[in-house]
Amino acid sequence: MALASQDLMKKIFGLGLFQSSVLWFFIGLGKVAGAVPPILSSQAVSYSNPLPHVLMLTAIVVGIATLSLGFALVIRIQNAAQLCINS
Amino acid sequence: MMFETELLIFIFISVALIVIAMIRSNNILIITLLSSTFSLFTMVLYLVLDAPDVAMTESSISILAIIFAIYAIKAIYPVTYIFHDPFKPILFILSLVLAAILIYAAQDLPEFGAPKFNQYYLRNSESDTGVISVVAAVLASYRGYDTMLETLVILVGGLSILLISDGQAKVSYDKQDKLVALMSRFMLPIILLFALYIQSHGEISPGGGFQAGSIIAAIFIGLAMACEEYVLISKNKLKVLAVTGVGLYFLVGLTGLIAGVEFLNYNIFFGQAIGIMLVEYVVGMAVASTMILIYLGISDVASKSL
Amino acid sequence: MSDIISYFLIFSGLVMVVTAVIGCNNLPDYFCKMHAAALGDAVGCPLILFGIALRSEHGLKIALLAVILLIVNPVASYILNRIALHSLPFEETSLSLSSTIPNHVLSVHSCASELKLKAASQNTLSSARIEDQRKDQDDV
Repeated sequence: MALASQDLMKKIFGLGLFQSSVLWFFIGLGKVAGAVPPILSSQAVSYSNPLPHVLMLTAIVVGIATLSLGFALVIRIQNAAQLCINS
Repeated sequence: MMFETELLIFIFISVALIVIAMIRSNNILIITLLSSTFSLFTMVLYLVLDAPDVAMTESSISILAIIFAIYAIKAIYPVTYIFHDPFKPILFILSLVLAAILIYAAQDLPEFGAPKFNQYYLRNSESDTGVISVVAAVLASYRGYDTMLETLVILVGGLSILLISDGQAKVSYDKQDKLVALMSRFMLPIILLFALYIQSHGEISPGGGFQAGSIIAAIFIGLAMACEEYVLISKNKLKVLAVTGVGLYFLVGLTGLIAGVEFLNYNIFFGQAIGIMLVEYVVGMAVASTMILIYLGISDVASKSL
Repeated sequence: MSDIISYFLIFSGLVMVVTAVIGCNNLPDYFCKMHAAALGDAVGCPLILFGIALRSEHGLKIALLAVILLIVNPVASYILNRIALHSLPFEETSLSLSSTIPNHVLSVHSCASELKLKAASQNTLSSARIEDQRKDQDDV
C-alpha cells in the first residue's frame, strides 16, 4: 500500500521496507536452532548457514545505492513539477 | 541464546505495529522516524538470527539512508510535511491476498531452525582459505565475482547521482556551530580507529569491508554536516578513490591471470588469506568513497532546488 | 561482590530509563520532554552498560562504549534544543507556561520588581523571538 501511494517519498520508503522484509526472509531461512554465528571456533558444534548472510550483505549496500538514486530523482522530479506549476 | 522465541515474537509484533503506522501515516517526518526505528529492530532481529555481519552492515547503512532521505525531504516539501494520501480499500484487499498466498506457500519451507543445507563451506573453508570467518571467506573467495560486480554496481549508483546533480557537488561551509564542530572533530580519530579495527578484523570476527567503509563515510558525512572545513575531501579525489577501489579489485583478480590460472584465483600469487584481506580493504575504500560521493551529490541536488 | 554491584547498576539504570520514558510521555512541552529524554540518554544507558561491563569478558570495550555514549549523546540533544529554540513558536515553549502561574504565587517567592522584570522580559523575549523568526526566514 505504501508502494502505491500518491506521494513519491512514501513510495521510496515503502520500497526500502519491502527490500528489508525480503532480507529478513532469507536470513531467517538460514538460521539453525541452538547454533552460533558462522565464525569457526573450537567450542561450537553447529553453525548457522553462512551463504544467505553473504548474499544479503551485498544486497543491503546495493539497496542503499539504488534508494539514494531514487531520492535524487524524486528531488529533480519535484523541481520540474514546481517549474511547470510556476509557469 | 536464552529468550530467543520470546524475543522474536516481541520483535515481530513491534515491527508489525511500526509498519502499520508507517503505511497509514500522513506526515513524512513521522515516516522517516518510523523507518529508522524499523531498521533498529531489523538489526536486533539479525543479531537474534545469528547474523552479526549483516547486523553491523544494516545499522551503519540505514543511518546513511536516513541522512540522504532527510536531505531529500528538506528539498521536496516546501511548506508543510503533511501530504494527501487517500486510502484505497482495493489495495488493502490485494495486499491481504498476497500475504495469504505467501503464507500458504511458506508451508512448504523446511522447519525453522532445521540444519538442512550444504555444509561444504563450513567444513572446508578453513583448509581452503585459512580464515575462520566463513562469511568473509565466502564473500571474497568462494563468491568473489559477486562481490566485485556488486561493488561496481554501487559505484555506478554513486556516479549517476553525480550526473543528476550536474557534477558540481559543493558543500556550503557557513553557519557553523562551534560545539557541534568541536565534537565532530573530537570523534573523528576515534571512529576512524574503530573503522580500521573492524576492517582488519574482518577475517576473524564479524566485520569486513562493507561495514568499515560505511563507518568511515558516516564520520566524514558528519563532519560535512557540521560545516567543518577541517577535513576537506575534494570531490575529484573522491571520484578517483572510488574508481580505484573497483579497479584494484579487478587488478587483484588479474594477478591470477598473470600467474597462469583463472581470473580471481589469487591463490598462486598471494595465498588465499592475504588475497581476501586485500580484497576487503579495496572494497572498504570503494564503499567509503562512494557513500561520501552520494552524500555530496544529494546535498547538492537538494540545495539547488530550494 | 562484583555481581551485586552489577545488579545494582543495571537496576538503577533501568529505573532511570523508565523514569525518562514516563516523563517524556507525561510532560506537557518540548523542552520538558527533552529534559526527561536526556536523563535516559546520559544516565540510564551508561549505568546499564557499566553494569554489563562488570559481568562480561569484554568489559573494557563495553566501558569504553559507555564513555563515548556519555560524551556524544548530550551533543545530539544540544543540536535538537538549539534548533527547537529558534523554530518553535513562542506559545509552544515552556517560557509561555510560566505566564499561567498566578501572580499571588509568584509574589511569594519574589518581590514586585522581579515581577515587573519578568513581565518585561517576557515581552522582549516574544518580540525577540518574532524578530529571530523573521531573520531566519530571510536567511532561508
